[in-house]
Amino acid sequence: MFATIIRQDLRLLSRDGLALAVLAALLAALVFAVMSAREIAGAHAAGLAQEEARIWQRQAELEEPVGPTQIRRPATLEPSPLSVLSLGRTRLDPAQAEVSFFSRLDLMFRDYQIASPFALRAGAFDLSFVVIVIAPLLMIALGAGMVLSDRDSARLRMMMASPASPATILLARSLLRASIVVVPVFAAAIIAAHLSDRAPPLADLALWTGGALIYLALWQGLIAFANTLRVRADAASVGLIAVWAIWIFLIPAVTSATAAALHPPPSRAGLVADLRAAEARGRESAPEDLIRFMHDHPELQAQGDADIADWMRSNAMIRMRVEAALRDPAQEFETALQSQDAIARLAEFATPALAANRALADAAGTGEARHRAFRRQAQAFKADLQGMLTDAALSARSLTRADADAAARFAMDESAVPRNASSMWFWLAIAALLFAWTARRASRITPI
Amino acid sequence: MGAVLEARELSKNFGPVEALSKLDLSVAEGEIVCLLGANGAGKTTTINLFLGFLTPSSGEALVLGAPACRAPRAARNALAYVPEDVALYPQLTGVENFQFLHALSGQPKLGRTDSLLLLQAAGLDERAANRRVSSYSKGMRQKVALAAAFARSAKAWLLDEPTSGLDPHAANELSAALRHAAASGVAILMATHDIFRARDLAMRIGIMKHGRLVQLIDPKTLDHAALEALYVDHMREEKAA
Amino acid sequence: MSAVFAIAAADFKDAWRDFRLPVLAALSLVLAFVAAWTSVDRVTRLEAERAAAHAQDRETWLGQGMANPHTIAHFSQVAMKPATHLAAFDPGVNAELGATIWMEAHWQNPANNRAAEDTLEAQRFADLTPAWTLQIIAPLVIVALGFPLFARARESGLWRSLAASGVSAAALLTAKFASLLLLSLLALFPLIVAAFWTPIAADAPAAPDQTVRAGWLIGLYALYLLAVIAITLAVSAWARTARFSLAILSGLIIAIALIAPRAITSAADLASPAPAPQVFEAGLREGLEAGIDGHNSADARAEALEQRVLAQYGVARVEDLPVSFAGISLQAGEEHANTVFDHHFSALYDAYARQRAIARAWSWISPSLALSDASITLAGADDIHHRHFTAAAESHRRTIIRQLNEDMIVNARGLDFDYLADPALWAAVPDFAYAPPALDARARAHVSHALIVLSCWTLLALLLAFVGVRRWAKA
Repeated sequence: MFATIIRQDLRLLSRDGLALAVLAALLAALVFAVMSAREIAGAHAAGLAQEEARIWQRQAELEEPVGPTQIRRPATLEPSPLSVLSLGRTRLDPAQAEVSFFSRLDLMFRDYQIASPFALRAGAFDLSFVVIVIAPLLMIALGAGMVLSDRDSARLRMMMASPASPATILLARSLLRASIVVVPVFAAAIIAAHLSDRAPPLADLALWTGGALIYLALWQGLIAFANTLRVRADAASVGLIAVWAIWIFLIPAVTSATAAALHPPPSRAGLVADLRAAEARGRESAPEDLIRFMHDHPELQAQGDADIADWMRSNAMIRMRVEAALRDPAQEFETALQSQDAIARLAEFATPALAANRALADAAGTGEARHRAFRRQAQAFKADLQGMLTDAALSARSLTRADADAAARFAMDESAVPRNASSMWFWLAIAALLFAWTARRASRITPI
Repeated sequence: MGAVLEARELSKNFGPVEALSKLDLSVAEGEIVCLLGANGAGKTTTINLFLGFLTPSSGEALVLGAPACRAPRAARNALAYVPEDVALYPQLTGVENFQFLHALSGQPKLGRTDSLLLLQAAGLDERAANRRVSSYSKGMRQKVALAAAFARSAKAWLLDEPTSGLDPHAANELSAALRHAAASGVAILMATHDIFRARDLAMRIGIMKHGRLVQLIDPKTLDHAALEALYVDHMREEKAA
Repeated sequence: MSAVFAIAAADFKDAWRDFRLPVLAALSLVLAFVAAWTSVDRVTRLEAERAAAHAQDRETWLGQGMANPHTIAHFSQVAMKPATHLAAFDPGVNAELGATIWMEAHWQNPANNRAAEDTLEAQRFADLTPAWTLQIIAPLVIVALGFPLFARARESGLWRSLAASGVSAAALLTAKFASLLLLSLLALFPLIVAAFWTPIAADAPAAPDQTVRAGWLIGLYALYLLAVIAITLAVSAWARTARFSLAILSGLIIAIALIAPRAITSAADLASPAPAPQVFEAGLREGLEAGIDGHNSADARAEALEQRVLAQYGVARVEDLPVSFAGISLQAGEEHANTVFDHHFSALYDAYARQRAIARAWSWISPSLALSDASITLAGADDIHHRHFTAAAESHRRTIIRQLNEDMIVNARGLDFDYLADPALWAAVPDFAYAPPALDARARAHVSHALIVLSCWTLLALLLAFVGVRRWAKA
């Protein structure tokens, strides 16, 4: 019976212009999404690799004696092989810094902000976008009337005058129609992941596909549930599209507007002005600061050129003063963004689109959490490297090549990237409840 | 002959409206019973109760002795249904629709040749059977439903206004098919407005009015004119009331 | 005329009784309030912060004591991009373009501090601004009100009665157009009010031709909504059932307002990509390395410059020059660097412009994209205005650096980098003052393109609606 219903439904769909259009649209979207994301991810990775190579090349060319200020290290957020599935914040957040004795926290990440503003504003057309925005629409087009149109046209009378259970009919059709969307999406994800230059981590790929499956299963559950209601197929379509608009656009729009209004980040312009004022004050007070510093650190007497030592020390004093001035505003930024994020996390329980967006980006390694963790770790690495170089720099002591090669190298600790998928578990539970409720209601479907 | 379909004090209310009131009726194997009445008399409600589409407010609708509402699948196993307007999938051909309906009945699968033969037996030739249903007339769609009913070897057929909108030739073909089915032991309950068709086909005619079975008659005891006059009298009383 | 009013009144009652109109109007009210309040707050706050930061930075600049001009050239000034009050209506790509430019010596920085980096991922789904509500929400509202206008009348058989009553196709279309226009105005009234109020309430500078811009915005958005009304009527007139009408319209609006803009923009980005930041920076560095360092006296090019300058002043040694050679060297380095920067940054902004041109060419299939393209230009929140700002900042940077270098050339003889200039020099360097420009030819091209696209869509849709209505009337 199940197989019969699926075969018949397949035959129906193969002759339905709308279903064929849906499939064509989906395939076109998937191909474009994979091509587009691959191109962007590839260019991004190539840029990072080029810069890394340049820095290492310069380090390889160092000749003894090596000045401590000549030692530079790249801090790079390795591009994720799965960024081709979800570009996330790839072109938005900084992914690399050249770290040296001179690096300053507020200027560590600069000159990366030239990505196309139009592409950033429109958003990436990647598989995440297809899954979260386009796929549910296609599923609604295929499934909103899968039983309701039979009721509207009175075919359901004929069908239910047989021993066939309406629940079986609904389940079989749901499975087939969901598969028409889900199978190509999964195939595209697996193909895209394997087209990447590096082997995709299977656990992350499983997380990405699992997150996508939960999201699409939720939609199919909702569509199946709508088919158990005593409404016309067009009313069900309108209702489902309204839910789509609310989940995809209205809740995220209201969430971001409210979060930004309630917890606005401190003024970036004000921060720039404050830091520049601190720098100017630092320059003015550098001689006094230097005296105080050398009094506290008598071990750092100049071993090399005294002028160079003084210059490095002044530089270090100014840097420390600016970074001290940055501490509170940076904390305020962090607090404001965390507060906004807390609102966003709450909103993830109101719309699966936000939950899925975060889950898919996190699985693909392009989410906010990983980028934030990178910035923190890069800043910590800077402090480590500068700590290592400070003694030599402030006493203008030269180093050997061996010292230079032994200097720390940045390595991202991926285990420190927080992942919180509680909202996706919530939606999985909702999907399960929805299916259970639908199964119960489906057994009571009548054609009247 | 035992009753295949039996209504025992069968009633159905929709809120304050009494759609069916204490119907007592039985249809035996090989018997054709027609229900005559105006719109809203309770004929379709009766059929829906036997199909298990509705739950009785009181009384029972029994199919092979079992209440249809409590065991709807068992009831539908024994039933075949031909609605007033047979709705099929317009994108599928006649034979494809037939095969789908047959598969839903849980019967063993029929091959294409057997399916075409059954459709032919119901009056639909092979060429028509291989065309998409979107091009079918009402009579042709009805033949698909009849073929499906035949193929199911159902114990009882329920037909709701089957001759409505049919041309005389198609209506005659339907009558022949029903007689053939009854002759092979199928119990047939048919709701209709067609007095003359009812007299020709039925072994008993039930006249329904305001949800009640007001009279159950043997049509052989009345000629066409008398039957018509009787029916009109009942309807006139309804208007006067 | 009475038939027109009667038909319109019936449609109004229909929309009221099945709650479409009240529900949509309530939704419109909530969105309008949130969009207006947050937009005004954001722009007013940002502009106040910018003005305060600029004043503080000027104070910092003026408060610098005696220092070597080149040290101050590295410190330099920061240009902070103002928002215009129309950007409260449509912030365009302002958040994706940086808002501050450090005008330091030796290097042209791109604009930094993109507001987009401080926003939630939620905002990348939808940015609740008055422009967004009119571009995205308004069409959905119009579709929800208008999809059954013709189709339901046909399904119910009312069509036959109307045709039999002698109402002409043109009159019927006029009546339905008036119905849907009235219903839309009622439902969208809060959004329209918010659109007008937001830029007025936002405390931010205005462009010199703000009245013209505002007029164009009003005209284009009105034409856009008329186009959507016409499209809705056309589909409803041709669709056999209300359900089919709704399915086609929903799909169409979602495709042209949501999916096509993203797809087209992505395709344009692929066709004319901006360089990766590392590639861009590598290009700048390569170009600069061909020039004069200014710090590295071992540079062979500095040697050639030295010979030229010595010959120019008729002396044999740098020490004998009546000016500071270090200053001359610095300025020569800047002048070479400026040509490199002009080349690369032009290429960057040209890449943006090409992307936009490609997207504009394809916007024939998406009136939403055509409108959005013109809207961000009129609001002063596009790449054209950003390029004007960055050009002004770069021009000012060169002025600052040249002024400081010239002071060093004249006054630092014998001292070079030990020379300390008087703080009066900092006061002599002008403050960066920026005023948004009027619309130029390129900007006007975006606006006129949108006008043509929207007009064509409106006329074509009305024609289709008329043919559809006449066809059914004859049938």
